[in-house]
Amino acid sequence: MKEQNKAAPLLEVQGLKKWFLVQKGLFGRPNRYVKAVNGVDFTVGAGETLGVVGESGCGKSTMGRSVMRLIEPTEGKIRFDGEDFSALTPQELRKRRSDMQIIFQDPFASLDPRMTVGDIIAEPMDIQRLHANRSEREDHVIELCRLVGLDPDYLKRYAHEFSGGQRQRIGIARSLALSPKLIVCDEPVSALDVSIQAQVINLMEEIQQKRGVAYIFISHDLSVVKYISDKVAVMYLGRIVEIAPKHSLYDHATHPYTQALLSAIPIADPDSKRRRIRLEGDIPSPMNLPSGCCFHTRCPYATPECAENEPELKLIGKDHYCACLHAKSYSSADQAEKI
Amino acid sequence: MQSKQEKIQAAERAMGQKSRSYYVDALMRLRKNRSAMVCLFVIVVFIIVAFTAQWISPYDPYEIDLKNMLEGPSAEHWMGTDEYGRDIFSRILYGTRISLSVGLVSQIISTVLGVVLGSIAGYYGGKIDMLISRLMEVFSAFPDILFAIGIMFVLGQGILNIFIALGILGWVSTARLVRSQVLQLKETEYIAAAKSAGATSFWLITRHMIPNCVSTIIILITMGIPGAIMSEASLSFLGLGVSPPTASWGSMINTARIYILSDPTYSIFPGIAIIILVLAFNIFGDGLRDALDPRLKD
Repeated sequence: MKEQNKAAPLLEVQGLKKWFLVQKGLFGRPNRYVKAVNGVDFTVGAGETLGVVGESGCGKSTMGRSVMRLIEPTEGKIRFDGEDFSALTPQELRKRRSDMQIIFQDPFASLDPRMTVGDIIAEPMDIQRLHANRSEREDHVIELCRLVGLDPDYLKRYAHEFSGGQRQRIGIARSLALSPKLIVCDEPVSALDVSIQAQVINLMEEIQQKRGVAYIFISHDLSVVKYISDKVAVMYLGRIVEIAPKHSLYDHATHPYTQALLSAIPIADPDSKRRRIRLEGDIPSPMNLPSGCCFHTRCPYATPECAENEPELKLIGKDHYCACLHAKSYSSADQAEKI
Repeated sequence: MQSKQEKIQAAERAMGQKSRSYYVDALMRLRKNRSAMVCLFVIVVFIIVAFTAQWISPYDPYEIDLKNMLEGPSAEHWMGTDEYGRDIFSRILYGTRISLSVGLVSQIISTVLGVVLGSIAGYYGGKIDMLISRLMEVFSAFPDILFAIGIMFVLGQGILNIFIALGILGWVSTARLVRSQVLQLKETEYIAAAKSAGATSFWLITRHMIPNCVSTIIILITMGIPGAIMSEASLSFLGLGVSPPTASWGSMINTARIYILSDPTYSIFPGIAIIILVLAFNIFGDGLRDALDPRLKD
């Protein structure tokens, strides 16, 4: 879709890891970590949307926040806009933060209850000292309100007087205040009603077209991700198991986990015959990752070697990467069943 | 140009927009609470008395009149006279100054100390938090009044030292509460949003954390004032408070103790004054808590 960006992607993440220390090792015992994000690589082009899907607890949100360095990653390289983002000092980082913003899941917790909506939207400008005088600031806030479809008359009100959808619009306006190049959307519609979800998603698409902003869209809702993304990454236990352009992923799902996820999307047709792949067991604890392929404990196709060898992401189609030992390449003509 | 005009108009309309902010909301709830409003009235009366004592008191509180020693209530001396013939009513009016100023000033000291140390401990965590938390534990290990006595013993008598002693005594509870609130607030998403825009720690603490703790702090102050007033009275009763000629309710009760059998009204009136003021602050504080507590909010 946006091939021309392939030369120099806006964001390039390599080997990103975030381990949380849960227990200091005592008497020579090793420290225990929750490996929330365990070696993730991906790229996002300018104006592109990368959808990230996975079960709750698979490290999607942690990944989004470590990319922004809201949580300091344990390891890994983040190149953003031609710059080594992971090497910035805290002072440099504060200034460069304007290019990467975030929208949160919970529209109730993400707005300070003691601030008026106008002040909330203007806060990023105030932090970065964007405007020298008040009327410029006021104009900018009103412009953002128009952009996200909020009535500027309500700027002096407090967040608790708004509905969930309106609050999410406020959150979006705030994230746009510094004209970022990339917005991490951490489940931005999961807390909203379905009808409101559609409005917010359409608004986000509209903003992308107007402003050319790139999104990392984190969600557990596969149909929403399918609608908004250009590229989709599937995460399992802190790793990306499959990443591909939207259509390749949904048409040629190769990784058994992706197949299981896709088979779980409800279809609004009672007569349609679908093969539901049911996964056995629970997601293993990220404190105690399984050996080899992290999915082998639940994989219906697992073989003994899956428990030994850790699969790397390998190219199996055009821009289509999959981390499965048994994944076979396909060409676009080849519609044969996988595995 | 036209659109600019439009924008300015919109902004002006926005400025004039009536909005029920959190505090306006709280105030409306408080006004519905009748007992809290009565107590507020009592507190205001005491404050007015403290400011106007020199004009409204019928006698000079330091004027000695040896002809009329230890007299019971009468038409001339409404609450009687003390062992030097001084008018007890006038002395109680003057004593309001001591009680209120001790309550207020010591609370200001302990609140400033508590908020600064508590928010630093909660926000930075790690070793700083360890240090401040241990300090809090050391302070709270001593019984309050014993600790105050110790400080007064070191610093000597005088109103200024009472401020200091009670201020140092009170910061622990404030710091503990602010710390726990900051710990909670630190994880909220609006803090993460401000951080993602490049906010400094100073910005986060002063713009988000402290404003969100303000209602708790207000409640703590109103609840802390009666405690400080009681402590001052206790210290003065023990002879470690303000120095003798100054009228303080506690020291009045202390001297009245000797005459409790011959002249019981001498000790009763300052006692009643303490009870009324402390009760008023306590009930008002309760009302304020109900009004400000966000959990009770619909």
